[in-house]
Amino acid sequence: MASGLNDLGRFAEPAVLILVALANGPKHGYAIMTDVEAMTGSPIGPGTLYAALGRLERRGLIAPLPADDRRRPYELTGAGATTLEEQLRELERFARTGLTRLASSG
Amino acid sequence: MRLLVRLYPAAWRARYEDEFLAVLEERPLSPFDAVDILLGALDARLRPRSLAIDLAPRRNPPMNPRIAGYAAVAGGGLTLLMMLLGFVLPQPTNGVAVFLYPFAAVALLIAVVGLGAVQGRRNPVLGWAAVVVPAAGLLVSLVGVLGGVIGAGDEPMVAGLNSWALWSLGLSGFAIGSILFAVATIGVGVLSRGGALTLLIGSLIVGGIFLPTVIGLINPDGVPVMQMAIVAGVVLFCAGWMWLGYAATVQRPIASSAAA
Repeated sequence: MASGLNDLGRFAEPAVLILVALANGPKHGYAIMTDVEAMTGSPIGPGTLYAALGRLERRGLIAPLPADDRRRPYELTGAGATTLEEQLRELERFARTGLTRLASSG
Repeated sequence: MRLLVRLYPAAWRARYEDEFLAVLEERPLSPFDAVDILLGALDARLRPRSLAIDLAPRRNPPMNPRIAGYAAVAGGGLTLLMMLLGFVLPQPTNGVAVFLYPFAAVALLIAVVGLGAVQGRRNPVLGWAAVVVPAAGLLVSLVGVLGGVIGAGDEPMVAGLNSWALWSLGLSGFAIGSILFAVATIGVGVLSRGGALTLLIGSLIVGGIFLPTVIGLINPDGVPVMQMAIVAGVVLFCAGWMWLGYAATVQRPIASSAAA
């Protein structure tokens, strides 16, 4: 995990998924849930979603926008985009290492 | 569903409850969701510093909207009493009805300014137009009534208008302003939309039927339907202001997204 998300414990993975969901534009809570489910095939619970949103918001990685009726969209901040990119690069290196090892053992 | 959400700390609910409930209402609540919410509430209580908001004790609504809310309830109630007395008493422009009007007008003026300030933060143009027009109407009508009380009678007071004409003009402005206020409230959504819809219907009837009757353009005598519509319009008009006022007194503080 990237350093910015290391201390999130069990919310680190949902946090990354939320950042990815917001990478192509602001989304409100339910849109984030459906996007994450579409990307991963697994649902993210509403309690987990808002616990992770709160942590990301406190770290300045996402920012709330004015509510549309009762639904409040969130957007990725500059710091959030940087953190997400670092996170994905680490995952990319991790995946490449794993694939290289698999290929050499075969 | 709401019971589960109430497990969260009050400050968390002040910030997230509306949007959280909106998410929950999008699909049926599964057992997985219920457990997840329980864990989320536990997390919010055990690790309050991990959240984006400070979990300070829940505060009462800001003072201005509360005062404006009480003023709206009082103003709407007094106006309703005044109008009902006006229907009952043989000379509604004298006595109790006239005595009540300044109190009703001042209360509604406070309500319009205070409640409008809340909406003006969200939609400045419509929000403030919805304050200026009814407030100006109330002030003009108040001048007219006070002119009548001090005995100005039919003598011109302002711009060649006598006290009766000023009262009618001001009340017309207030009715039109109330329509604007109701439309702004429905659009902005900060205050009660049910109250705003009630006010809108009442204002349309008051502006469209009652005031033309007062100034002699329409004669409802012998037309029971029109008389009933006038009574219904006045009641809805006053009930709308009272509803909006009550909603403002019990409203939660508006969550500040800027806290993030």
